[in-house]
Formats: sequence, structure tokens, C-alpha cells
Amino acid sequence: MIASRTDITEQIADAPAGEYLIFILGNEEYGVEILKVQEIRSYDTVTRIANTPEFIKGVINLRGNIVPIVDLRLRFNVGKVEYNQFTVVIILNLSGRIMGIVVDGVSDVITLQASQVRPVPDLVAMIDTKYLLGLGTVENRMLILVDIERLMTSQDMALVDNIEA
Amino acid sequence: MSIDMSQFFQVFFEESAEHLAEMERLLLEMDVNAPDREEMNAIFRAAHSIKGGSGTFGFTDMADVTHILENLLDRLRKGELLPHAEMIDVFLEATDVLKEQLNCHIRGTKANTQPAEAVCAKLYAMTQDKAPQATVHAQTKPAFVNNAPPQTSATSVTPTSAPTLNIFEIDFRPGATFLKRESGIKDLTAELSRIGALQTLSAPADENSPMGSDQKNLSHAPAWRFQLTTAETMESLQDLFSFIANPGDVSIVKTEYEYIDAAPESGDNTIFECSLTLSNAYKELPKVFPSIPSRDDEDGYGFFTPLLTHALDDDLGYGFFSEMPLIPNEAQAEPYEDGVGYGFFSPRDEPASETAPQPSLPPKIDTKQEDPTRTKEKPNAALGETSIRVGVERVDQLINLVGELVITQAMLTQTAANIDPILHEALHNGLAQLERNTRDLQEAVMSIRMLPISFVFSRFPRLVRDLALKLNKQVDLVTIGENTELDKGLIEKIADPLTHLVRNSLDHGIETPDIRIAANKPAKGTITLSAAHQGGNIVIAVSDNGAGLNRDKILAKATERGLNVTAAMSDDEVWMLIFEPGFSTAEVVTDVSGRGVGMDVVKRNITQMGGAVSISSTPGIGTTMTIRLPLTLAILDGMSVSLGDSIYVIPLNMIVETMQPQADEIKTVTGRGHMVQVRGEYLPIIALHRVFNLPTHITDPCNGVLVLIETEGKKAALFVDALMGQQQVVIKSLETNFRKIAGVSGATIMGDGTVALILDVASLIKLGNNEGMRK
Repeated sequence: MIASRTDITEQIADAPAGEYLIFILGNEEYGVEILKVQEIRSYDTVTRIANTPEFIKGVINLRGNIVPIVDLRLRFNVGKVEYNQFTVVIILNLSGRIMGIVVDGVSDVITLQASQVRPVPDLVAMIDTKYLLGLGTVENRMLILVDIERLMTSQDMALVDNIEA
Repeated sequence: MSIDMSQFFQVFFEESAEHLAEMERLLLEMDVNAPDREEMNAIFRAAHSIKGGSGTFGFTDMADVTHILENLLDRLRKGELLPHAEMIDVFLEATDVLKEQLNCHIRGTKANTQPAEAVCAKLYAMTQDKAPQATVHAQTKPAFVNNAPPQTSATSVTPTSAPTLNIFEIDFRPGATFLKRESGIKDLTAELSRIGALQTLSAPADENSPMGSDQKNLSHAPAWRFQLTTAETMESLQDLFSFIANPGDVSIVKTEYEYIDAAPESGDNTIFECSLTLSNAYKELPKVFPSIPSRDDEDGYGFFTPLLTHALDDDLGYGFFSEMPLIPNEAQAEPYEDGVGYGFFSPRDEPASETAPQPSLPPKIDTKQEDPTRTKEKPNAALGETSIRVGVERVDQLINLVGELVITQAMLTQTAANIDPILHEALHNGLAQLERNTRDLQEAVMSIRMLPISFVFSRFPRLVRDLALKLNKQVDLVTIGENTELDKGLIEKIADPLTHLVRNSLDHGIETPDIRIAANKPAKGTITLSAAHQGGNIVIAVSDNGAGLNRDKILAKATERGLNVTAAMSDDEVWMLIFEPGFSTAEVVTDVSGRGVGMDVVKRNITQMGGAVSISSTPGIGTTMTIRLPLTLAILDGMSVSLGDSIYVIPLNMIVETMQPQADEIKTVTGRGHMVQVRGEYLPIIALHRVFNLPTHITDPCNGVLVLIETEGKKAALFVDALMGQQQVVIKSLETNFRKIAGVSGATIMGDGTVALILDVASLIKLGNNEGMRK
């Protein structure tokens, strides 16, 4: 028992324990590393950008910074896509690059121990498993821990010029 | 305790570059016949600061050059020597050498020592030149000893308290290098006789030949024999000779001496001529940073002042990190004597020095007991500009934040407009005040990025001087409006094009003196550099009173190059031809200009900055090139247009005109590819909603607005819904957090806080063409 736990811990060595911000997309709970989150704000008017995919809502003015906003609900085809005063935008700071993601809601911040993080089984997911850090388990909840930086800078997000290798 | 000194290198590099520029400027301004004492002092201070810094950071080559330069300057400003034009040339040469050395250090490469040695020799010769015999006393002596190059710290040791007389016999067989130098043996003898009683035992026949160029003609090496009775030590004599001759060329034999001082190498208590007044915070450095060798004659950079406040002697320091209590130093603001620090970063009323224990100083400051000879010196740290060095990104951040504040304030005002002004008078008053304060704050913050254009202009006196010499022309450079301010980014970018224009004026514009006299003009030409604000623009003009452009020649050249020209072209159009790539009418290609590379680059650079360049020229009277630039790179004059529910900004300098077309003006080719006829010209219509795939109600150009845009020689009509208005917008990069978008060059934040995209006209025209192809 102890041995198997060690195995698991080793497998997910690059998915460290830590604090995660939990957000909701559809019926699932996702987690992003809290240190990557700059702030949470409500959805505001965005300026549409021509000839970009539907899920790129446009850009907003965040205290003088032009910040792109991506609707993850549209990107992954989940949840109810509506924009009102309860629509939440998580502003991420990914290596100095600021961007926002629209999600269904933000629930809480959870500290996960390494023992609570499980590897992702190979399955057909709407998010490619390479963008997942692992699965967090808290009581009966399963938290999908997203490598948000990798996801947001990936080619199919069309958010950056230089596509990561 | 080890400190990585390299972290301070950048500061040193920047400061030294500034000091060098300052020195050069002062040298060029200096009137040789009536040198200004203050200016001499300023030059001295600059040299001294460089020396101090380069010594601290271990750049001994720079320290050596500046050291000898400083000695000469010191004697100049004390009136012991009189400056002459040649001296200025050598000084300028020395600043060039220093610049090169500095650049090498910045790049981390090794400097060529040749020029440094050459200039040292010249300087050294001048130090000895015309030395009044009366100055042979202890004060000048150490200065001389100090001239010894690389081993400065090791050899600068002669105690002033050693009046021992030694008698030396010197055999000197000057080498070829020595003879090649401008000043010869006479300087040597002058120097030797200055430090002691000199007897020439034997000399070659041409001893009496005057110094200078004659010496160069000596083809053989004559031998000299001197007997010298002096207080100098053997070492210092050897140092003297090691400086001017190869070691094998000289032999010094001590025939007699009385030995008094047993420890000539102590080096610590020696008061050098220049160190009399030097600030010595640096002296304390070794206590904190043992790795730094103690150098008595350096002034500190004051980086570490807070650590040393108690130990501060007579430091001026830079006060860089100083948090010392501020003491008004008016009491000490006496004529500047031997000031050392550049005072560049000192707060104006930093306690300038404790050199003179002032009764007004509070006891809090440790007034050390001073050498009484120092009390008369009152260095003035407050002299010169005070400034602090701040990263550009911090300033930009500040500008962003203030921009945000302005928007917030506008929002508040908008909201408050709905509130009863009578019931809430105080609120309205407060908001009005907030508006004023915000505006002031915004102006103040924007002005941080602004620098006077003298930063660029200051390089031209030197350039013009050198170039005029090279071309055998006589030119005066007049600068007007040097205090005109523009954005730092622009300052950096305008320098190269402007340099090119000035060179061009000098090379092609100004005629040689004989031609000028023949044309009834004064032999000396004038190049005028002027800068002024005009509306939201800055206008920089380079004018010369030279020959003017030759219309026929340009036209002929253009025809030859196969350009599309007619004799009916207006002058302005003809002049603009010289901006064509590879266009040059110069008969002779010089290394200055004439290759026809450059003017097109000038134009391209200026256009990239959002500016424009124009020429006016009259044959025989002169030529004026005018550059018109926006005040800052960050601000753009734009026309905001609407498309559906979005707002876009078009750079105003790309817009030719706007029009609402009539139905009969819209033409099609094979039923597609809409065009509009404007004054006989057919322009393609680019429908923005189609390019951007945005829904809009207005799809007929007759209901919307056509904005005629022109860039890179291409014209098109951009079809948008409506014009919103003209305004200055702050350019924001989309790429910071996002990526490049076709047809969009950036974004801006509108008054209501929303984002509007700035259209990239050039790429839009391309997109529009592709759009046409697809249909």
C-alpha cells in the first residue's frame, strides 16, 4: 500500500502539491495553480477582434493593459454560454503574459497534498491529456488540474504568435 | 564579505558616457582665448569622475588616460598653463580614446592600447609644455610622478616630506618612437629641470632645434647625457622615463644620495596635488570591500555612502543611495574651487561636505577634524543638475496607471452628471478638483519621458567640426530650440537620420570657401539646426546657406535612373526625388556621402516614426530639410470610425480625405471589385466589414463613408459606417499579451475605458487586394 502510493507520487512528480483555484466548467471542476491567477473579475464589454476564432471574445482594457479574453465554455463546448453580471473572468498571469478566461464559476481555493493528486488515465477527454497536470481528489470531488500555461499558449488556442514546441 | 562589483558596472558605463559627452560638449564650447573658469572646472570634474569610477572598477586603462588628462586640466584651470587650440584637439582625441575604451569595456573586449598610449604621450608632453619654472615645488611634483602609467597606485608614493637630494646621471638614447612624437627632447629637459637642477653633460649637435615637428625629422638617435640633482627617487625617475622611452634607451645611475625616507611605498598619507580636495569616501571602501585596492586620489561614487556616513571625510559622493539628513548648504555655496563629485545625483541640499566644519551643521553629522589646509576648499555638490536614474518600464507603468486614473475620473464625472448639482454641490466641487489634479498629474507624468532635443543636437558640433576640417570647408553650426522636448524613444531614433541630414548639408550643401567667395557669400557657411513645437508635432529643420539643390541635375539623374519624371514637375516633387533609393548627384563619392545610400533610409526611418520629411531649396541661397514628428511615439493622431458596434482608429497621417460617394461615382469591373472615381482616379474600395467579417447594416458605400488612405505610394478607399471624430490616442501593443492581428497595428483605450483597435493601413490595402482576388 505504502509502496504503491510512492509510485503514484513519483509519476506525478511534476504535478506538485499546492494551492489550486477551482473553477467550474459545465458539470466539472477544474483547478489552476493559484500562483498563475492574477485576479478574478466580472465579465465586461470586450472589443471583438476580427478574423479570430469564436472562443476568443476579444480584448479588454485591464488598467491600461490590453488583455485577450477566451471563453473556455465556447472552447470546450460546455456550460451555458451567456454573459451577465455573474459571468466570471479569471485573469491569469502566465510568465508575464496576461490573459483572461471566461468560466461558469469559481468555487474555492483548495490545498492539495501530493498524495491527493492522481495521474490522468488515458482517455478521450475534451482537453488533451497533455494539458492536464493530474486529477486532484478531495473527498468525493474530482478536480481536473489544468496546466493552464501550456493550454493557453498552445497552437489551437491561437492566442500567441510563437507556438510552443 | 564579498560584493559583486559588476552589478555597478552598468551605472558606471552610463555615467562615464555622460561625463564624456559633457566633456566633449564643454571642450567644443570653450573659447580658447578666454577660457571660462567654470567650464574648466566642469571639464575637470568630468575627467575626475571618470577616473574615480574607472579606478574603482578596475578599468586601469581608462584611469590612466583620465589621470594624465586630469593633471593637465588641473593645471589649466589653476592658470598654470594657458590653453591653446592644439590642446583642445588633443583633449578631444583623449575623449575619443576614452570612449573607445569605455565601449570595449562595455562589450567586454580588449581595447587597442596604441591610441591610448599616443594620446597619453601628447597629453604628457603638454603637461610639461610651458611649465613655469616657479612651480617646482612639492605640490606639482607628485602630480608628475603620478603620470607614470599602469602602475599608478604602486608608484604614486613620493612622500612630500622627503627633501632628500639625489644626484643621477642619465644616459638617454631616444628611440624612434620618441622622436616621432610631437614634442621631443626639449620637453624632457624642461621636465627634468623642473624637478631638479639639470646639467646637460653632452648632447647631439642639433640640441637647439626647436621642439615639435623638427624632431620628427631626426633620422638617427642622438645620445644625451644629463646630470640631475633632484629630490625625486630613482623609481620616479624611471617612471618618468618609462613613460616616454623604451627601457633599453635610458640608463640612470644614482651617483650620490642621502637617504631619509625609509618607506617610500607607503602611499597612504601622500597628499597629491589633486587629492588635496578630493573626496575620499572611497578611501573608506576597502574597509567594507576589502577586495578593492585603496586609491587615495579617487573620489568615491558614493554608492555606499549610507554605510559610511560616519566615516565620510570630505565626500561629495554621488549621494546615490544616500539617506543622510538633508542640510541646506547655502552657507557653503561659495565659489567652486576644486570640486570633485559631479553632483549629478545628489539631492540639491544634501550635505555637500564636511570639509569645512560649519557651525551651522547639526552635531548629528560627524564633522571630522580636518587638515587645516582643506578648510578653504568648499566643493559644491549642488552644482549641476540633479536627477535620478529610473528604468523606462517604470515610467511606462506610471503612465499607464495615470491613464487609468484619467479614465476612472471621466467615468466618475459621467456618473455624477446625473446627480443633482444643488443637493450634492460638494461632490461636484470635489470632482471638478479631481479632474484638474488628474490632468496636471497626467501632464507631469507624460513629461517624464520627454527629453530636450539637445541630447541629439549636442553631438553635432563635434561632427560638423571634424567633417568641416576633413572637407576643407568652413562651417558654423547654429542650434535653435535645443530645449524643445520630445519623447525619449524618438530622441533615440531621430539621431541617425538627423546625423545623415547634417552630413549631407555639409558635404553637398555648403560650398568650399573659394566657391563661396566667388559667389559673393561669406567664406564661412552656416548650418542651422532648429527644433520647435508646432501643434502636436515637433518640427526639426536642418538648413544650410549653401548652393541649394540643382533641379536640372536631379531631373537628369532621375531620367538616367529610369524614374518617371517630367520637366513639368513642381520643385517640391523634384526635391523629393533625392529620397529615392540609390539616388545621388554627387560627382565624387567620398567617405562622407555621395553613395546615394542614406536619404531613402532617412525617409523610411522618419516615416516609421510616424513623421514626414520635406525639402525646400533655393539655388544659391541654401536648402532646408524639415522633419515633422509626432511628439511621442506612444501617441498617435487618429480618426476614429465606427463599423457596426465597434470603433476603429485610423492614423491621421495616412488619411488623404474622406468622402460620401454618390451612386454614380461607384464603378465596378465585371460587376465586382468596387471602385470609386475621385478626381479622375479610380481607387479600389476596401470594405472593412468584409475584410474583418463583421456584421453591419451599412453595406452600400453610398450610405457609409469612404476614407481615402494612402501609404507606401498605394491609395485605396476604406469603406466604413461613419466617422466618429478625430483625437489623439495612446498606442498600446496587442502583442504584449496577445498576438499580431492582420490589419491591426495596435490598440488604444478610448475615453470610456473600452478598447479600440488601430488599423494598419498598409496591411489593410494588402488584405483588401486579396479579398478582391477571392471574389
